[in-house]
Amino acid sequence: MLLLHVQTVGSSEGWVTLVLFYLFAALSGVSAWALVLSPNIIRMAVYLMLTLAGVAGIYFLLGAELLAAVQLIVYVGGVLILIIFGVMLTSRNPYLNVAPRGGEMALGLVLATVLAVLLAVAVLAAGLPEAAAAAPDDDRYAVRWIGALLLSRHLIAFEVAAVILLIVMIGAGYLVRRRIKANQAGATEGRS
Amino acid sequence: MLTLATASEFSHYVPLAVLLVMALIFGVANLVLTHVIGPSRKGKVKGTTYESGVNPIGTARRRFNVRFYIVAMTFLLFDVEIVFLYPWASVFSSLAEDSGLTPVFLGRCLFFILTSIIAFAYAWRKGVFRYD
Amino acid sequence: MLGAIPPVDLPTWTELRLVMPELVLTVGMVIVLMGAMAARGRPGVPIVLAMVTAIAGMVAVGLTMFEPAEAGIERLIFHQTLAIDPFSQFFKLLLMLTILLVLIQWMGLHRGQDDLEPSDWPDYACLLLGAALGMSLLASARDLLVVLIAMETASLPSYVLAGIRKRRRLGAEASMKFVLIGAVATGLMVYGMSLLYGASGSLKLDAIVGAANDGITPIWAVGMIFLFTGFAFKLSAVPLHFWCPDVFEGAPFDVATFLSVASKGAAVVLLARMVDLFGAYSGSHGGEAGMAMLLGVGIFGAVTATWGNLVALRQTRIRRMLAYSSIAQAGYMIMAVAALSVAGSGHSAEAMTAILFYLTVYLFMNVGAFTLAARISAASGSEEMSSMAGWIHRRPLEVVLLGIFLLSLFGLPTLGGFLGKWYLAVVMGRLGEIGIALVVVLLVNTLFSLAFYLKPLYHMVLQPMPQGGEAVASAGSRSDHSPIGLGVAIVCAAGVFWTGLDLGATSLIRPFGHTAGRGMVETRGDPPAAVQQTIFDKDAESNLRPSSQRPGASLSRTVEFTGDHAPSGSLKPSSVINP
Repeated sequence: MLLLHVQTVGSSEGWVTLVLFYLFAALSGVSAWALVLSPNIIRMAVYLMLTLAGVAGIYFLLGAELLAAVQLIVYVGGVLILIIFGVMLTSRNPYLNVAPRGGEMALGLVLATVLAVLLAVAVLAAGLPEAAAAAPDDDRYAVRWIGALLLSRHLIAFEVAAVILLIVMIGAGYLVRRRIKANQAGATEGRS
Repeated sequence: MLTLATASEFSHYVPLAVLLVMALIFGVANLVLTHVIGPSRKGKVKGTTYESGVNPIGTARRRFNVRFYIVAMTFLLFDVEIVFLYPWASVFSSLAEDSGLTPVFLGRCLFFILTSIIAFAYAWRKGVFRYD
Repeated sequence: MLGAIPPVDLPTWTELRLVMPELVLTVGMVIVLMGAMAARGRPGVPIVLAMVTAIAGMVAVGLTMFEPAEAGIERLIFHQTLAIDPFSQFFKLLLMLTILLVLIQWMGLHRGQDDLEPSDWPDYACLLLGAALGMSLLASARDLLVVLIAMETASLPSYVLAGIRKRRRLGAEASMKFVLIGAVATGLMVYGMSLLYGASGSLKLDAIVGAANDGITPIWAVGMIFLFTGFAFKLSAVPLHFWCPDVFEGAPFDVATFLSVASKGAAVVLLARMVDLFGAYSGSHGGEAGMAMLLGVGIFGAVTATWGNLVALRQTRIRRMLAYSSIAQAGYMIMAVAALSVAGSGHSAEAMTAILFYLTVYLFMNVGAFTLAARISAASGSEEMSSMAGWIHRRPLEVVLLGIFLLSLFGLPTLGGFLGKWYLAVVMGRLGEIGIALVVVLLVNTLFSLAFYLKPLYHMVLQPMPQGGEAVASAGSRSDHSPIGLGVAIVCAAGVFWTGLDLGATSLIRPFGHTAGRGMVETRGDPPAAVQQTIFDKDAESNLRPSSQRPGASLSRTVEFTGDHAPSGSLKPSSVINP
């Protein structure tokens, strides 16, 4: 499989790549617009899912298979569920209308336009060096390569990531556990 | 194999694409077919959530208990954990074989796993996952 | 064919020894949790374990901090992802001291009477140590990935700590604001990192800075701006400072102390390391990037200091006032960091010394001021400064001590704050016209800040005690009488005088500032990898080397790793396996 991967992804000028790229880009872009414009928070979550899935598709096209899989497993599968849970846990009505006011909309639009223009100018003005552009030619992004990097060059980042997981577990446990008590207190008050 | 690979792009993703298409067709087709083939009756009882089950209490659109959040969070944590373990697992055997330092590379991974497992054990012991 | 993999090596014993403070913190976190599980009936055990960790961390830092000073250059370890130089090690010493003081302060302030139940104490200790680990790594980071991971390790526990008083709305709101602003800042920073990687082809900070040698490209500039946005969040520099007063108000006093000293300190050290790289490279490309950095960082600092001071004047609650004061103090340090962006090795050593000195003073005066503010507001039942009228008659010692800290924050001669600001001004003054402008800003700000630093003292000393003040005072909780908090304050006051009267403080700190950072200067022509190679070859015999254990069994079939194309010279990783 890996051999085939090396053979194929490198010569990526074909029309299939192009069509797939525009497909995924359109999926991401259109969903992102719909996400911002939708007033319904649950629908927003679904649009977010489509956006993230489109980005995963682009990762596939770039030959970053692991990243694409991670995007699907962690973001589409995990973070999105967390977001929906968060919505269901906090708001009294998940179908809450959260349309922004005119002023907020205008401010957001201005900021987004400035950012978009800035980034477009930056990316268009500077051609990326060979190192970054030509990277997918070999299987540097293959899983084995990443595994070896995590065990050598980025060992510190790898091990500290475990500490982050520990912190998140402790922090989430602390926050949630206390709220259970508060909820129980609220529930008993409500009953009496 | 090689000629096949170079002839068409992404040939090694074809099984994946077939699976994706099949899943989509299966889902959409089932929805369409129930509308086309299935009988359509309407009525008060027919419209309830569980037609021959218990009567639902209240609406589904209410606030959920926060304790479910820890379930989602734990899921995500181990999700991320597996994401890190997969590259390690894919390279471990050849690394250990080539260098003869199996304990070292195993140790690096064990450090990673145990650090987060200890947090999980602590949370468990503390009763974070207790539903009462 | 399974595909090539990059060479994988083992950390040498030297590397493991140099990273000992971080290891101690990590192991400490695990031990705190295990101790909590083992000794369930005694909630004090994890707190004591955390204190032991902080002390062990100090010892570990002490063991590592002198050795590089003798070598005279920074040590780049773990494939140059971490820089263990005297500069970072001295900050880590301050960091461990801060944890210790904060834990002691917490014992004096809250034990048994805040919302934190005894069963949650290990969580608190563990989160504190976790945040410290992140800050410690941040101070040594020399690689974008480590910067990101360390920033997250420092931020995530801070979010929880900010909202640790969950029954109070203020705490939840503060935590929420913190998380939202933090998420936006981190997102921008990661995006900037991706642009910088695209522009330079490397994750190494020096290679990224060196990429500006061939002229600044727009993509590099945008990436750099985004990266500094992330730094600005941690520094609570002005566009991203909103979280700071709210978090300090919503969080308990001890968390506010920790965040104000340790979090900002780590960010200042990281900023200094980054800007210093600009200084090191600025000689080689006409100083274009260095000049931009000098202007950018200088203006950043000046605006932050001025804004913090202006808003602080309007505060009526002592804690918000201290929060804005800490924003202004961070601004002073940022202004001094700007001095590092100019070539000239002598200046950089002076600037590093001045920053370390100011961090030391800042630690003492801020911990002291927060501790006493906590005690007095606990005793008076309110954080409004007007409710503390006439407290000089009730608690003379505490009011006098608070006065010392506030006047030191202002910069009264004989107190540490004065000498700290003096050193900062000296460093800024050498920068030519821009430097003079910065010194003027510093001077005006300092004079202006006297107005609000005297405000609580005015209420406490000159205003008469209101009728019925006795009743309010006695209604205060028992914690405000605890001798522990007073002990912390007295230690801090001693520190303020020690630095202020310069009883050996400058001569202690100078070696750490002077040998810092500019390993680059001596080796400017050569890639830093060469430096690292020569260092580690000295103790090659003691290294745990796979090649020495199984000669010929090394990963000889691996391709040479060329993932990083550093424009400033090939930064080949010094692989131990690869011959």
